[in-house]
Amino acid sequence: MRHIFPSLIVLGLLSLGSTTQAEITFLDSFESADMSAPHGNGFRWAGNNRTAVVTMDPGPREVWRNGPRDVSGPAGADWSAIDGAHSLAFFYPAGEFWSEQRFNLGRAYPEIWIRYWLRVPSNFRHGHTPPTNNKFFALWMDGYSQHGDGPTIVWNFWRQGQTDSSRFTYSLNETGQPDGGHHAHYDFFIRSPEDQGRWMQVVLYAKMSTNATSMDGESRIWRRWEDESEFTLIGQTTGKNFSAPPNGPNGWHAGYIMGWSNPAYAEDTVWLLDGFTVSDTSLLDPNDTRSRLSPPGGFQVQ
Amino acid sequence: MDWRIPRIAALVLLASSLGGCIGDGGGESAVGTATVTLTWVAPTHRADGSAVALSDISGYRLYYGPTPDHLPHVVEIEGQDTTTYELELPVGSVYFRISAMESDGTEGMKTEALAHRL
Repeated sequence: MRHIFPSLIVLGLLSLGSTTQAEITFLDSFESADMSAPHGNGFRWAGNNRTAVVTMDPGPREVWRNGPRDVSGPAGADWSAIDGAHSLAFFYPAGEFWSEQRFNLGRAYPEIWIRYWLRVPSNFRHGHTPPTNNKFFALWMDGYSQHGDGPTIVWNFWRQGQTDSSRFTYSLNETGQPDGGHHAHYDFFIRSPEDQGRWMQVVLYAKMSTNATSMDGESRIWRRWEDESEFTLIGQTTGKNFSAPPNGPNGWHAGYIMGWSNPAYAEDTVWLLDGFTVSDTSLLDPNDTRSRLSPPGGFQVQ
Repeated sequence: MDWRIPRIAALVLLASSLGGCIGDGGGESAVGTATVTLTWVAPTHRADGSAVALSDISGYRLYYGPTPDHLPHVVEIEGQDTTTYELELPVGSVYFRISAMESDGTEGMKTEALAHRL
């Protein structure tokens, strides 16, 4: 079948329609229970510590921890996903500092949007031992923090005053610069005990600088609770040198979720994550949650 | 590449394009054009890794244009079994992306842009 120059009328309508949908390049709701499965656009889950795909079918169970697994969770645990039957759990045993999931985006994103659901542990109390910062999310180009020449953004949450609640901050390395320190953003990011067990949906945005001198790099973070219909901006930074490192990549390329908890937790504490989505266009439409078809394979032209 | 050429040609050929296509025997190329053949494999899973049946796919949407970020031309290709498509285009550089369409009209993720020089 040979086609020549399709109708411009049809083209115009299709083009208008396609601009209203976020260009999702990766989405994992963990329903495959296989974090090694191939995904679109080269994304891959990378190194981890104390993370596992969990389900409540028929009870609390781990079904993937660096490989297939079938291990019962503690009696009484509620590991219900917000969508489907599976989610990714981050385990912080009492007194332990580290649970983390790294990822490689598969390509460089000059602008990136990341969205996911995160459940506050049902027994969440922010640790009291200083320094009280917990890592929340990190994003970089060529290497994490001092391990690369390019920028790194790290979102954190600290103890809110003398309470069990948390406030939200960020720290960053601009390209070729040392750590710029922590910057306060948003008070009572998580309230304890009020927000225990609640799901929040997070949207992160980062934009690289146009060039090495333009100082127009940006990052933002929004959040909505499950019962909220709109996102709230809880942090932003603008006018930063987020230029590409001299040897590339030309954009954001890797990161980690959660990570080191400096104060640790007094009790075994489990965070759940679901619907991890990556896009190069806005993900602020809360209704855009469908798991889309992967791109066709073996695409060739002759 | 001068992208005015296909626009003008499209207007001239509007009648035939509304008809869908010309016959398979139409191997003649206008001056300064060439034929490309695109091939692909239907997706077998969703972005979250869950399996998808071929019957869930209604067809494909092909994008092309002069740069990876500017693909203004869109072709709807019907049929989940279709895995090849021919297109006659002006000579020069052209970029393609393709996505699968679900029966309810939801568009899947697009491939990375594929470059080709005619």
